[in-house]
Amino acid sequence: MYRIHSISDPVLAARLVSLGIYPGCTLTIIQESFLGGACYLAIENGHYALREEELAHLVLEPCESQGEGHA
Amino acid sequence: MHKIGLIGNPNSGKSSVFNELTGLRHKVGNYPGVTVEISTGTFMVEGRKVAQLIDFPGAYSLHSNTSDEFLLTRALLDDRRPEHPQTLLYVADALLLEKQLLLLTQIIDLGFPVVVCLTNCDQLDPGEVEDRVELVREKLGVRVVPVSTKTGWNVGQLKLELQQIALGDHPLPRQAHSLSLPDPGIEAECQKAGFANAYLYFLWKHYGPRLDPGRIQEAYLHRESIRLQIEETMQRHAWIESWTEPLRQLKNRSHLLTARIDQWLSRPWIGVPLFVVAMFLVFQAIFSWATLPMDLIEGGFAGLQSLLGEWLPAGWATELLVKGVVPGLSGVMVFIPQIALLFFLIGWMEELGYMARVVYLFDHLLRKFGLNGRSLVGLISGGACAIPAILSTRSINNKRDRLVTMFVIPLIPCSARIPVYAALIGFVVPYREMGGIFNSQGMAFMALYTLGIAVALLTAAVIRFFVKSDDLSYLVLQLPDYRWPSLKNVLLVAFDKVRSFVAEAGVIILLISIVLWFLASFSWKGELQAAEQEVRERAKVEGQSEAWTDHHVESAKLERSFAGKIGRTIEPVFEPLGFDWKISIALITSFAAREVFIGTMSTIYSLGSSENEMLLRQKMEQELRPDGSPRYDRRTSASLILFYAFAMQCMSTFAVMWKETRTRRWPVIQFIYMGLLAYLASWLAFHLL
Repeated sequence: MYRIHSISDPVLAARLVSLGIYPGCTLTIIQESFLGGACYLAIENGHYALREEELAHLVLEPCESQGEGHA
Repeated sequence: MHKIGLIGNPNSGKSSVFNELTGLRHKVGNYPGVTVEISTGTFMVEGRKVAQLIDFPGAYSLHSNTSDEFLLTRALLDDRRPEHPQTLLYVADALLLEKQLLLLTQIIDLGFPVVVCLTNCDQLDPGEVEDRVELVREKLGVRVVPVSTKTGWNVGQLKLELQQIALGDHPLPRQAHSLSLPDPGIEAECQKAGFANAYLYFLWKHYGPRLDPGRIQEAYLHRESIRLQIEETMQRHAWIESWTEPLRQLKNRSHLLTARIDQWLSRPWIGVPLFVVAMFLVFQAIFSWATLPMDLIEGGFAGLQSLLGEWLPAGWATELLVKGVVPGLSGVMVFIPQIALLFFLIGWMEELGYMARVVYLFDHLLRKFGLNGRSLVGLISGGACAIPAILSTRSINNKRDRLVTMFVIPLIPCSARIPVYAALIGFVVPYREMGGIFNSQGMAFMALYTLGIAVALLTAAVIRFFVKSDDLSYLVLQLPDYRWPSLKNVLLVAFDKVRSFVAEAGVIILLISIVLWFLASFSWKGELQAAEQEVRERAKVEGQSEAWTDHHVESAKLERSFAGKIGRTIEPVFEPLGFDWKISIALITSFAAREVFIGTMSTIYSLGSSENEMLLRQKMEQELRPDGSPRYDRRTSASLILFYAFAMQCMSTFAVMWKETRTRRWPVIQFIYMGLLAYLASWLAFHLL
């Protein structure tokens, strides 16, 4: 499980913030990119698909799982 | 009439609320510059039209990031547009309330009178519903009506509220929850510029240049706009978070179930095969389950045709009705079963939340061809028929992806090509067994299918560079929790598509059908009678039977009709492909639909219009060129097959493209492109084989 530290691309950040994804949110990778395809993520209480290169703009820091979300 | 805008996040249950309020009284609005569907409906109370309901595309924020979301921003900011609403009905899912408040705070700040409708309330205890209603009412100062569109609970109350607002009985207070905007000077500037409130002006400074540059003096530069947008949104999130903490604790059953299902479904090696199975079912449905009702419709119209032919007095009006209008109507109605079935299935998968997973799974693959995960449904159903397939692209919310998908769908081999291929393939590939279960002609069929699909994908990969897109290419896709679809909603979607197809494309199909009938049945004065006279005299001299005479009269008349004359005129154009004037005539008449080729060739070869393929094939085999070699040799037949594979020999495709793109430009470009492609392929086949 990770916590979003920051988002390096401002335009992408604007889009993500609209969806309720911003620094401080917890993030779990449910399915990593397979052959360059999209990733399946659980962010806070929602599920999202992001492309590999979009995920690369999220600066993540590991965090302890608090028993919520999807471990 | 009072205009009420229906607004909410995607997956908020907005369309269910819209259907509850308007029933079947809605249509797709035709607003200038709007390419995506905006439905408008009439809200009636006791037989009286009370208000117009405008269903805007789902959006997360007024800071639009897609061309679809921009429609909403534009409608709300620019009060001179016809779709600018007076009151807003904000729909939010009670289960996801804390995540769906951002847009609500924005529209309140714009100064709109707002009523909030909380959906999915049957999933919560009455106490929980009451808590949520109170919380929103207290924090945002708006009226809140909880409903369940599934059980119909409290929908009456919602209607009552809307009625009172529309009739002006209960004017809503215009609230502003007074967020301090990240631009400190905005208040003063706003007053000077004469805008109603600061947030309105703030958004104009973001989007004014795209709306009406004359109305604002100074707009934000791109970088600044992005920074302010993020700052504003973060402030709103912080404020919302500060009082929605209690809502976050709730464990949501459908969310947990979704997580469990997607644990598996998100894996490509499970998700992809499962999708293949699902698509196989969809394909089966439109390819074979629709056959029975389609046969019934065609049979019914054929019956009607012969009945009318017998009952009505002979004359051109009867001819028009029997040979022009009735086949045209039949040609429209015959698509209904496929369209209804396809949209029922797509609507069901969309409501279930499955289509978002399809986009996730296939995004990478299809992006290479300039397509989108949702394009897959259109491409696959194009294998049965291009008409429902093109209509299905309405679910693609990116303008460019949708256009590219629609453009290439007609290249996918559809079922109407099968009769043409079947009649001709024997001339190209002699039947030969291949390893027991396969045969040479089956392999040739498969090669044709593969070729069609390959050309469709290649075309997509190329034309995407020519279609302009104002959308940034991001995936960033929210995957909603699965929910069991409401049958009523899905049926309404299917009904709606059928109705709009009949009303829009149907009219064009009918008109083209009448024009084609006219071309094939008329000529300059006296010519057709003369042709008939000649045949009858010859029959008398040779002592031919009545059937022989009738068939030859028909053939002679077609040859001298306007269609026949055009066929002769354009013969030189098709000469390099190995086609004679007979084929040229069939090319004209079969613009109605590819399978008409068989009927026209039968008529030309004086076989009657019985469409007996065996007899036709024999006749074609005996047909010789002037130099004595067979006309339908390998080269010509291959050339003809390829022509039908690529040319847009389908008036319905033309009509649907016209209606769906709302321009004549795209169907014309497509017609020319497919025509050139067909010509090139046929020429190559004729000269290289």
